[in-house]
Amino acid sequence: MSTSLLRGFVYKRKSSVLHRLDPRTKAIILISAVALIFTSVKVSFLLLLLFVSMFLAYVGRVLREWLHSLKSVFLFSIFIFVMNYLTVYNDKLLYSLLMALRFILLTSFFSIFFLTTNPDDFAQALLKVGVPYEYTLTFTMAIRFVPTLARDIQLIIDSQRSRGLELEKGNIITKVKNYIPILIPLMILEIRRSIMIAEALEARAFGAVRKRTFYRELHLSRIDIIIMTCTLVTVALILLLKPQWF
Amino acid sequence: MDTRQCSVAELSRHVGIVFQNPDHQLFAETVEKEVAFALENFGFSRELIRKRTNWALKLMGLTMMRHRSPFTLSDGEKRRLAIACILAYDPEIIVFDEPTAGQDGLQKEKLGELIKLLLTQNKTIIVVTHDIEFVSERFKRVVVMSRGRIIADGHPREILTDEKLLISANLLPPQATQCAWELRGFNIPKNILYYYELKTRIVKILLGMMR
Repeated sequence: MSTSLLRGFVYKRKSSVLHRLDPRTKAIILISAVALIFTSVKVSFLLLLLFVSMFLAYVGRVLREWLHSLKSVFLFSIFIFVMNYLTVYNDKLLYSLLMALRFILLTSFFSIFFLTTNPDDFAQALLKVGVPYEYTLTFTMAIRFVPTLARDIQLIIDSQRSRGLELEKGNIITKVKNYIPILIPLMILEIRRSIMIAEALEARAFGAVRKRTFYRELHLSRIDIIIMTCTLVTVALILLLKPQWF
Repeated sequence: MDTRQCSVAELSRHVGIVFQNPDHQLFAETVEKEVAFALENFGFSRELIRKRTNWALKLMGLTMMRHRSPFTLSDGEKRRLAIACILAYDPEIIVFDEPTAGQDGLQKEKLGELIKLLLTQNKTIIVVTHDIEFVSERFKRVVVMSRGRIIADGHPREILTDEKLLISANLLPPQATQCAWELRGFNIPKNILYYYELKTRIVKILLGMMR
């Protein structure tokens, strides 16, 4: 279940205009989109943004994964709609619709960003804007170890089931208890693994010098700069002029 | 029994798997409770659980450590504990996944003796391994797999002395066989598998030379 939600966010190596863009450019697009999503008060404009994101997903050749992430948050957005509808007094329908749409749009843009951005490049972009390397490394490692963790969980479940453990048996309390034989080995395994990773990092001179160099450096191409300026100018104009349809 | 129709829990009553890494399954507070876990899952009576636990712990030489936490055991002891957990509920088929990995000579010997003992109790033992010596000394049937397919099935003598087959499966022959191949100029057959065979052949040659 949790891994199926991840499918809509995990980067896959592909070749498209969007994949080739610098992560900083994509980050600018993402931030602009988020700014528009939160300031706009027109359903029609948000729907337009949804079309924009669909266009981006198409250009980035990630339509199927994008749809998957939307599908997996669809139920939750209905929940948001209902909750808002029940708690808000003025303009109930408009307000709840806006909230639900905003949530879907956020998921949509973030999903496209992560689907088309190599985590390593993203980490380097973070580094360029001044995030310390320790933090960016933590981020890339977290992404790197998701599949490993999934495999560990599967192995542990297999080995406990072969000892007769039935996860789905019993009432809610026994069901929770059933997970103890899964969680304890998992925690111990992962703590051990993290100690091993720390040792491996140190053995490869992690933190030996303050200023590290990089094998691959990110460069803003001309297309990057054009797209960045276009996005920034358009968004700035919309935010400053606040046209009728916004 | 159609294995496609059964749940894992149903099958596990008949098939015990000793996984490669004991860290994937140890979780209980004490060694004793770890062994009892499967027995409880299968709904054995308290008296039987006690009996079987004692028996399995004794068999694997863990009785002294029964009240210790599984996480304080050494790697070799953990492996033995993992085996005890399976033996305790007495499945008909026992699968060992790479049981000799990271074991010293003595432990390997003990494991071999245990498998021998289980075979005398009419159990089916399946061992997944890359340890050719262990296989050549201990087993009567070898199934060679490569790229997810079975490429040979038979007695170690025909399988482990077949040079072409071994190369295609990325395996080395047992040391006795290798030695026999090196000595091929001395009228030693290529299908030598055991050390005693090699020894008698060499002794014969030496005696012939002395005469």
